[in-house]
Amino acid sequence: MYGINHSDANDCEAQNQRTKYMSSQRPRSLEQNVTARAPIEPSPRNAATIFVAIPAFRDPECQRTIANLFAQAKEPERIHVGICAQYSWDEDSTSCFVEPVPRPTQVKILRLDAADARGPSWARYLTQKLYDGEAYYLQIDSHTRFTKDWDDQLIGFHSQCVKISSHGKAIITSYPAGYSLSSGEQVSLDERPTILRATTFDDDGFLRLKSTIVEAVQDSCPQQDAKCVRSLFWAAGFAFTSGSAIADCPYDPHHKSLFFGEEQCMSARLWTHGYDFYAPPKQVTSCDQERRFTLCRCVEVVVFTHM
Amino acid sequence: MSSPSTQKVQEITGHLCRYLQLQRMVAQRRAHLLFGETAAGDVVLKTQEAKIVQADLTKLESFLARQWEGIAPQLLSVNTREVTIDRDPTHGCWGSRVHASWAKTQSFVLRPTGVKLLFNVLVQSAGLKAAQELKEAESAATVLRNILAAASDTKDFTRERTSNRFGLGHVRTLREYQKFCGVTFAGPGRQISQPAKNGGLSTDKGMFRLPKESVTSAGLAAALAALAANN
Repeated sequence: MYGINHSDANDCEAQNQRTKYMSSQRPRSLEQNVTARAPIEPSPRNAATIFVAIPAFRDPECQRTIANLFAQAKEPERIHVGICAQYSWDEDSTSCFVEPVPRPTQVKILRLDAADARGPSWARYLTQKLYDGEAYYLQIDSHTRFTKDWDDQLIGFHSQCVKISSHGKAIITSYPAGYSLSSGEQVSLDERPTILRATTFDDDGFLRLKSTIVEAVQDSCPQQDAKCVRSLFWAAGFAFTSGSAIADCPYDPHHKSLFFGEEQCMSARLWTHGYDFYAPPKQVTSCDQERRFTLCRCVEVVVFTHM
Repeated sequence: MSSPSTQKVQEITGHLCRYLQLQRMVAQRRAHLLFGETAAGDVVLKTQEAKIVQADLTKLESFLARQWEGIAPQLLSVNTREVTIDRDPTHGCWGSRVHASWAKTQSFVLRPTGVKLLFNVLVQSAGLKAAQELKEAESAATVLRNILAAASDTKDFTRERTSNRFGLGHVRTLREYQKFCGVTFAGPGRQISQPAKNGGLSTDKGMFRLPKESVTSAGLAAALAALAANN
């Protein structure tokens, strides 16, 4: 029931799935993507590209997240970023877009007024609209830092997990360890792995999760493939998988103003679509959990304090 | 044409807040329905909520009819079911306070609704001059646009349940997932098992182990409760 199920590993099936993902789909333009209703799947020209989806709500940290993810990537040319930028543009532009954006041609921004924001689920749905057939899909929060060569490591973890997954579909996911803005830009990342744990049902009946740093017992790990540990749940703030997940199981556009409930729904939907969840054996991102920096206005408080 | 009063703007802002609450409640019920939670109700608006929506729509329509005659019927037919995004027509207009590199990104916006377009045409044709009038009118138009979008969503909920595309998959069942993760998500038997609380790990077996102090056992909880009672 729990832990890695090696008996389910089926390399042939996994390879078939990969072949299917990379099959005859012709490259499509972004214009086609955003207007067409048919879901886009990874295309051959994007064999190792990564689409990083970032919803940002009045977050000055987002600009530093983008700079950091490019700076720390082993191959930054394969990284494509999609941002659902929900800002009060008159007020926020003095603090939220003052630092240079590296590789701007690899960054797509969907600009919304903060007053039009409808919670993180809808923002992530909109961010997925910017997907353009990249091979991999990484979903993060807008206040995240990366370890060196994170792209290579995630692709490696994913490859391992696909081989041992039940249906050739794997998602690397967990709550990243936290970093604090008080430490400035020299963020020291805790790379120890974490696992998602259920805690309770909240007043709205939704499952709440938390993460715990786990102890790795490397001596008991004879196989290289057995590095990732099976996770019971999926986390919205860090999830890395094949780009085909967007076509298989996109965000529900009707979950406006939904906060808690997002992870429970996506966990069940992704798992029943055949995706197995794995916690990475080491953290490659860190997330500012305090979020004291977020700019907020009265009407936004009305909306978001009820989530 | 007179500009909307501040009081009117506040009034319709109040309507917006109510719509957002309704929208959230409907979204929550939709999420619960995914797990077969019938106690949470259907995804449609409940009777009282539907009355509120209808009353607001009626008020809104008469307000629009008074203020912006001829536009209301068109506004009320706005349907935002499918979101469409376009390349930003003002690409590059990020303002002087933004770092220049941001103007080189690929910029997109949500396709504007009929409300915004009609409003712009109206403002131009009416020849509104005063900055305050323009600001108030634009504020009102933004709020109206949001209300109508929310109202459109709530109308849609009355005729749509969780569609297949946004529903559960068919590779494995929800029952199997609940067995795997150790959580029963809905119904009277809703519960979280101890393995689920431990993330599927233990303190003494496996490649990854929980720190011993992090395990919440029933025995420990009972001991703590007894200790508290004794004190």
